[in-house]
Amino acid sequence: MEYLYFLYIDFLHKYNLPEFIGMATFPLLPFCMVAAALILVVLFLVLMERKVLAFFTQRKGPNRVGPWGLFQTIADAIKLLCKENITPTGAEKFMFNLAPLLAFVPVMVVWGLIPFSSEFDFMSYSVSALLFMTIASIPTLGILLAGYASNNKYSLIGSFRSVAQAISYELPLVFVLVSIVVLASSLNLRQIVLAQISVYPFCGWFIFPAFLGFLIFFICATAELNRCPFDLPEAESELVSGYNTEYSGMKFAFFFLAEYAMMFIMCAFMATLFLGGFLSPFGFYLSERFIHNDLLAQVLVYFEQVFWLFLKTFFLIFCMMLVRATLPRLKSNQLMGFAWKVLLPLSFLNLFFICCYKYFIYAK
Amino acid sequence: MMKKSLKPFRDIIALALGHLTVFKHVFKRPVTLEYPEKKLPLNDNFRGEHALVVDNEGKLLCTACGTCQRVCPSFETIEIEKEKNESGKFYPKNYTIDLNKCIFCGNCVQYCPFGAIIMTKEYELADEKKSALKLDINTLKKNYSDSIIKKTVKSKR
Amino acid sequence: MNVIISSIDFIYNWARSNSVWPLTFATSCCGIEMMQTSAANFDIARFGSEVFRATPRQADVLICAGTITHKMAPALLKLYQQMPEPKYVIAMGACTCGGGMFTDSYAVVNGIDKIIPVDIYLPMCPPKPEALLDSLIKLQKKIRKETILDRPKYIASHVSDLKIDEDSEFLIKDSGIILQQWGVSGNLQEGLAYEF
Ligand code: SF4
Ligand code: SF4
Ligand code: SF4
Repeated sequence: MEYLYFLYIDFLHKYNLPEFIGMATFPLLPFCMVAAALILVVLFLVLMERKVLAFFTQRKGPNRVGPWGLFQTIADAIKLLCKENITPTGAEKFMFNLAPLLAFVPVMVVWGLIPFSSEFDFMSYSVSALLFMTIASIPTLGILLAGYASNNKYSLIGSFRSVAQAISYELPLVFVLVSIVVLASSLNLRQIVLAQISVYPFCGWFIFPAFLGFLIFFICATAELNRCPFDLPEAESELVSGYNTEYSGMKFAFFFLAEYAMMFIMCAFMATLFLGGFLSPFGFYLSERFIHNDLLAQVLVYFEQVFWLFLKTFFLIFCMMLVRATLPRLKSNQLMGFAWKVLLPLSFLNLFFICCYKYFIYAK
Repeated sequence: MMKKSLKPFRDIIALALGHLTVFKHVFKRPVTLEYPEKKLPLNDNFRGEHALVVDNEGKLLCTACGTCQRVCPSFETIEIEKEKNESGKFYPKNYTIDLNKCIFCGNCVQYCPFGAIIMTKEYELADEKKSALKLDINTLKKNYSDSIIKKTVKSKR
Repeated sequence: MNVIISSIDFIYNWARSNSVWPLTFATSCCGIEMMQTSAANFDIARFGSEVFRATPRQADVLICAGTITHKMAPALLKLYQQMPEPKYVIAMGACTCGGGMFTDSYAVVNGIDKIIPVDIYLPMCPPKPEALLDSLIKLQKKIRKETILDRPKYIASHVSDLKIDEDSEFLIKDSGIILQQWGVSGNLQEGLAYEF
């Protein structure tokens, strides 16, 4: 981090800017970078979802707007900006407008908690894993507020379902997280990643001892994100469009953005916990091996780490899309039963197994 | 007893197979037709926009007999204004088909005793104005001259 | 000034014409053909329109696919009014253009243009999926011709003088109920404002 700071100060000196500007703006810089990166990633993600779903059904997907339809999401975003913003007469105006923000802002915050590389984690706290889980559950409040404020029965039922689902699937999620914390002996996400370094390439990843945990985490993350087959809050055949029924234009875009951003962040979190985060799957960094200029290699390693994290994240997102393309929606009672009767006991089992593993094998 | 305990495993295998089946399609070529550039070949008996047959001398074959009007299942779709010419034969002075009501059943073509009406293969009929969908006699004639180039449905007299 | 407006117009129209999200509104057999349009062979997704929204609040175009009966007419008007501007309507199928084969039926509205303004009429019974794509392309062309300056005028043209009567759930004119209009088939007394 200090290294980057000095680079930045050097850069400012070139343009004859005093150091205090650097001191003042440096903490903000990563946030701006990260926010911009998140929005870019989400724009790409929406297109990817549409393309991948098209490929699963042997369609072509968007391909008329720019090369391979690359500008499709940009067109969508501009269009949503141009649309009329409707606030229904019966709605609670303040809460109705607050809800999309409440769903979107926490997403931006948790995004900063992910360790992108061994240097780029500017919000590295000793309890960042716990913090992640805490803040990541705030968007549910936004959804509840949206459902309550829009004065629409479908919105209300959709948001109730969303909250019920979030609460029941949070439990197994946290128990799996606990097992990972036991393995890494730390709540710091960076320490969790560093604990996955081993002598052999990718053998130290926590997915191997905690494969059951990975599956549970994957399922629970899908449910937390309200994605197929757990998209009951937005079930189009029963509730018109769930909690965002009354939202139009930009406010809807915020919900949309938050949903996809959260999906990316959840997958990045999963990659951090189970797939070695920013670690290279080869056990060495390509830029370290092939570039012999020391300084350049040192900088490139950071970017390579970001690249590995994104690669793993996109792999997980692809899996989520595969699930979405395959499975139909569950019934409401099946959903709850699955969480309490199957996933929760299994996550206890996983925790027990991991503790034994840690005590008897990993510690030696 | 044995079977029931095995059920979760069978379910998991079925789930995995399902995902595999979907996943296989990523590697297949998309079957999509790039529509405005490429079009599906039409059937021989495809029924598209109507056309009134014009003979070599530029006259309509239609004698304004009104059979098409009578067999049409749709309400007041064909309107014919008939008139006598010098030689005492009837001809349609005006002949309109309202595409807003026509259901493209082909009865008029089937039953016309003179083979005077045919159906072309034109199906891109969308228009911004409703009045443009009322085909008058000139449009129907033009449709025929256009359709000579394309293959059309022959009347089955 | 002209340069600025034309460049704004370009972006405004480019964005709107390339992401026309339809409302899921299939009332009868034409709906099957609409589903086929979004399936693999014809793939409406290529034009960025596969996002069939279930709620009118997020839709741009109402593809009215199927017969509109007098019972359905208030629902159609309500859905249309709930859509945010700018909004468009494609009348798909002969039934929605002018009544189709139910023109003389006592139960069917002869053309949805009596209830809401229609942008594209697409006849045939039912239209081929290609024809629906063609109408979508024509709608995109229409959108590209618009300018942002016309927007207030355009929105004003969407205000309907029909409204839904709360007691009878029929459509009425603002000036009051026009009762005792004779249906087309001449054997039914209806309290409908759009049957002339
Ligand atoms: S088209 Fe054929 S059936 Fe119809 S009026 Fe003319 S001649 Fe008679
Ligand atoms: S095709 Fe059928 S509905 Fe159309 S004009 Fe001919 S008879 Fe009437
Ligand atoms: S136009 Fe024909 S296919 Fe379409 S809804 Fe009417 S009857 Fe059905």
